[in-house]
This record gives sequence, structure tokens and C-alpha cells, in this order.
Amino acid sequence: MSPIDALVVGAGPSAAHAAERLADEGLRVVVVDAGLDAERPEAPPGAFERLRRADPEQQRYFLGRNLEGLPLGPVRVGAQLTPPRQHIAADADALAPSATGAFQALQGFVLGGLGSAWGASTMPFVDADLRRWTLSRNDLQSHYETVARRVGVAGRDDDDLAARLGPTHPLLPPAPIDANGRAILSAYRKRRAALNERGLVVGAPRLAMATRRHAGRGPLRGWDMEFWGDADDAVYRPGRALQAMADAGRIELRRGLLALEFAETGAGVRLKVEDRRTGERSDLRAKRLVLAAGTLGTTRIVARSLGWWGRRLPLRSNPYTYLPGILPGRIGRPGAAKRHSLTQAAMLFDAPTGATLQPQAYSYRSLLLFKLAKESPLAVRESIPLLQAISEALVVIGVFHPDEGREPAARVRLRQGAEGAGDLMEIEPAPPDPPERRAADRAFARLLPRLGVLPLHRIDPGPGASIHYAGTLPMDGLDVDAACRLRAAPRVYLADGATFPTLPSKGLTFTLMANADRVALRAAEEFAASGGRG
Amino acid sequence: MSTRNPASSKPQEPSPADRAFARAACRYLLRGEPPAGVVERLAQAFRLHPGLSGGSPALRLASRRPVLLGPLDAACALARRDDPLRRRLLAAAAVLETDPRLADRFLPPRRPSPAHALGAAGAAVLRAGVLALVGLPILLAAERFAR
Repeated sequence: MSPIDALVVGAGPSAAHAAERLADEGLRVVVVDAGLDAERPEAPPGAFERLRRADPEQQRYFLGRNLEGLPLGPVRVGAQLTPPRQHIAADADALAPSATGAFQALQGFVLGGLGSAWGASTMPFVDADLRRWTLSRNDLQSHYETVARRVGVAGRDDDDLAARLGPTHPLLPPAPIDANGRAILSAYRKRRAALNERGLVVGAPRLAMATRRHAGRGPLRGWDMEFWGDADDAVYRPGRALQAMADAGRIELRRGLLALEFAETGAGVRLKVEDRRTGERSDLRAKRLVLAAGTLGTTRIVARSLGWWGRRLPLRSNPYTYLPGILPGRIGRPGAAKRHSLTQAAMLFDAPTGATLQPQAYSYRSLLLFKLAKESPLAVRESIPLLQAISEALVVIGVFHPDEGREPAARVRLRQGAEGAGDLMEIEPAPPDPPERRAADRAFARLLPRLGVLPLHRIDPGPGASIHYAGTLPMDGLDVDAACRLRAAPRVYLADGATFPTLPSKGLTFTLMANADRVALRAAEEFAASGGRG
Repeated sequence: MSTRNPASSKPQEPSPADRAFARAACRYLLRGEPPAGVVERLAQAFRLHPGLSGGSPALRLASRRPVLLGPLDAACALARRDDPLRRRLLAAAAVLETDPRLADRFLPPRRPSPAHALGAAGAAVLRAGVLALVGLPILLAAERFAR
């Protein structure tokens, strides 16, 4: 068998696009994935309302076999995942021991990684978002285009939001917007000038969703089950993409192998892995190593390999708040029979504090009423008919805040375990919910009535709740060069969020994938220039 | 050779007290008899879910006197939001919501109208307010008596 040109560690969005680019460039690629096939309560094909009325087994996926979908008691890591998604983080405590305090550090050890629960929002970064990076939008544009072609991005390029997203890229027809989203967009159009003056633009979301048949996926069926499963295969999932590449013989996928540490050798790189099924450790050898194990996973591997015990590294994470709200004009009005559950209206808000926020409006219906009854100040019995009466008019607006300041959201360090024990990742969050963040949310909430939405409450789920992590090893910095190679081990490339110097409020996943494609192309070019040597 | 103790693999039964409270909670939330099997599923939930194991004066009183569930539910919603009684009622609501025979009680109405929706919402708020007025003194008395 020919030697491995590139080992890719990880199986999430970054790994999928790094592997695809390396394979496209003709390298022999092996992807090392720690995931094992876990049994999980998958929802069957069908529309939300039909399943609710007909499926006697629905408790299995809506609440979980052991009722793990009941959000009672203190918030724990992974609680925001619905039961069919909870397998994503199930093995994290054992495989990546962490002491994270109040910081919610979710890590996925499954094929697809955290991308298995991605909300599919794609918003490319523009130069203003990249002002503390050494990259420009121009450097990323061709990679955004490549990724958009692969994943299929549904959306518009002719509305106000599109004007804030930079040069266009290939787009599929936009996903249908439900009645709440249409009401918000209609209210926006009526008061557009005044809202723009206050820093708010609203538009149709761009979603990695196959609204027509695309790359073997979809089309979107409008079942409103996106929080509970992927039965119509419309939303892009990196796990499925990796499996498809492996099935087509473009890459080799080695599952159940946990990457531990690497070392450079004369002939390339040696990666020590542990087989999760047998506990046996072995070495894999390749000419290049691409780490794309997610920011926390990659940081652990690098710190362990380079002996950075106790070294404090920055950790970026978008602060996240929720604003549940109601559209009074929609109470008692029917919703569409066919719809999807993901973002219905996407926004950008330049707050008076100087931060740009990225709010996204979701309709609540498919998330079940009992979770809202928990937040109600009424008796549970009286909350149910109240919520039932208004459920079609309920929205939840998730607001991403940037993490671009000098002080990151948290610091992280790896502690060496005692002999025979594993190492421990410690995360110290910055003080939570500073006044300027609350002020920015208040300024945004004051505009919501003009969009027809009455905000009911502000929920701060705490640091790390966005599940966006980045910035431990910034590109073109002390430890990593502009091509995202480790300065201490130049055959090792970092292709995930670890190298992002800052996190703008726009979701990071689309840029993770584009940057992974960029890093992999640089690795392939450097590999070719070296004559394919280790 | 398996080292598993066959006795330990037998599913545990919910306690009679859990079954009794599950029945009372379902009757209270539905204002009537629950469909077959729901009480057992809820009693299993009380046994399985780690967030449903605690006790409180409100829960003990409601278990002894199910007629007080309404006032105590409304009082806890205002004053003891994480009380074990409220947790158990929320669990009961979740189990009922995911039973297809009860879907019409939770899904948006098939023929919605703004007047009906506002009427239903107003009536629910009114009932909850009255129940809370009755329930708050009962809750405080139960807690004082328990000390």
C-alpha cells in the first residue's frame, strides 16, 4: 500500500473540507475519527405534526429513552441538544477530561463532530469581520465559493442582508420562510429606513440546505423536524459527506481511533492513536498531518505533543443570549403546513456599544410546549392551553455577540495527569454577562416591536453556550504561521477554529469550512513543491 | 462468561407512591382520566430521571391531598420555581405531550381564530391567578408546618 500523504484528524466540518481538498489535489488521505457507531433514537421520516398525532414511539426521540430530553435541574453540557443529537457529546467526559467550571465546553466524538447539530446558517466574513486577522475576504472568497458548491447554500443575494455579506457565491433557491419569518420581513420592509438608521438590517437566511436535489442530498421536504433528525437529508452534515467520500474511494476513513499526540520524524509525522474498541495504542505515519479535531480537541493534541503543560492559551467563544418573543399579529393565525425549523429571518445589528450582533429568529413550534411551560409564571396546567393558543406566534431570537476584544471569552490550559491518569483541560471563563453586552441586547430588544415582535424575556445561558470555540492558536502568531502550520512542527497544519484570531458574531462554521479548504490547499501546494517528500 | 447478575438486569418497578402521584398528576393536568399506559410511563420517569427524585413540603402535601394540586402548582410557579412538585408536573406535561392520543391538546388548533386564541389565553391567565391566590398561603403554611 502506498504511504499516507496526509492524515486528517477529526470528522467535523473542518476535517471534511480539508480532506476533500487534499483528495481533490491528488493526495492519499486518511481521516482518523474517534467516533464509534452509537445507537441513537432517530426520528423516522415524516412531518412533525403527523408524527405527533400518529407515532406511539415518539417519546423515544422527543424525550429520549431515559428522558434525557427533560431539561430539569442544573444546566449541564449538552443539555441544549435534543435526544437524537445527545450522542454527539456522550463520550466527551471519558475521552477528553475537562474542568470547565461555568464554561460549557461541548466536544463531539462522532462522525460529523459538532457539525452533526449545526444550525446550517452560513454568513461569510467580510473585511470588517477580519480586521484583526491577517487574511482578507479576498483570500477567502474562492474557498467560500468552493464550500458553497459542495454543501449547497440556499438563500438570496438581492436583499439588505446580502449587501452585508460581501461578494456573492453559488446559491440554491432560498428555503421557504414561514409565516412568522414573513411577518418579520414584511414589518422590516415597512420601516426599513428607520431601522437601518438604528443599525439593523434583516434578510432571508442563508442555510446549508438542499432546497433542490444537490450533491446527492435532499430535496427539503418541509417536515419541520430539523431539531430532531435529518430524515430528509436536506441539511448539510459533514459526517455524511465524509462517509460519501470514503464510499467513493476518495479518502480512507479509519473510525474509532482517538488521536493522542504527534511527533515529527525525518520522514514526516508520526501520530499516536488509541483504538477505542481494544484500548491498543499504535502509530500512524504520514508525510503531512492536518489537525481538524475541533478547537478544543486540536489544542489538547498540540499542547500534549509539544509539552505545553500549564500554558494558558486564549479561548474565543461567541457569547449567546436568547430573546423569546411573540408576534401579537400572528396569534390565532395558521402556520404553513410545510416548513423547516431553522432560522426564518437573519439579522445584523450594529449596537450603540460598537459591537455588531447577529440575531436569528426561529419559530418555536417544533420544540414542544413543556419546555416553555417551565419558563412560565403560571401553573403548569394553565400554561399548556395558554401556550397552545399562542404557539404559532412564538419565536425565539438567538443573538450571537462577537468575541473580538483584547480579553477573550476564556483561557484554557492542559494539566498533565499523574502517572497513569489522563491529562485534564482547564477552562477559566471571563466574568460573565458584562454590562455592555446587556446594553447591546437591550438596544436590539427595543427595535423588536418595530418588527412586530414583543420580547418576553432575556436568557443568558452562560459562557460557552454558543458552542462556538476558537482562537487558542491564532494564525500568523507566535506559534502558528500564516499558512496555519505549527512553527514548532512545520509538517503539522491546523485546519479548524483554533487558528481564528477573533470571532465575529456571524456563525463561524461556513468560515471554518472555507478556511479548512484554504489550509488544505496550502498544504497540498507545499507538499507538491517539496516533491511529495516527508 | 457473563458476570452480570440476572437479578440486577430485571427492570425495577416504580414505587406505589410514584404510581399514585403519577395518576394524580395526569388527572390534574388533563382534567380527566389519562389514556392507558401513560401513568406507568410517568411513574417510570419519576424513577429514572435524576431531577425528579427530591421531596418538598408542597410535593408531600399534594401527594396526600391531590385536590390541592392546582393551588400548589400555581403557587410554586410564582414562588418556588424549582420545587420538586413543579418538576414532577413538568415531567408529566412532557410525557402527556408526547402521547399521540393527546396531541390535539398541545398542537396548535386545527382551525385557529384570533378570538378563540385570545379567549383561551385570557382564561388560562385568570384561572392561574385565582389558583395562585389560594395556593400561596397553603404553600407557606405547608412549609412552616414542615419545619
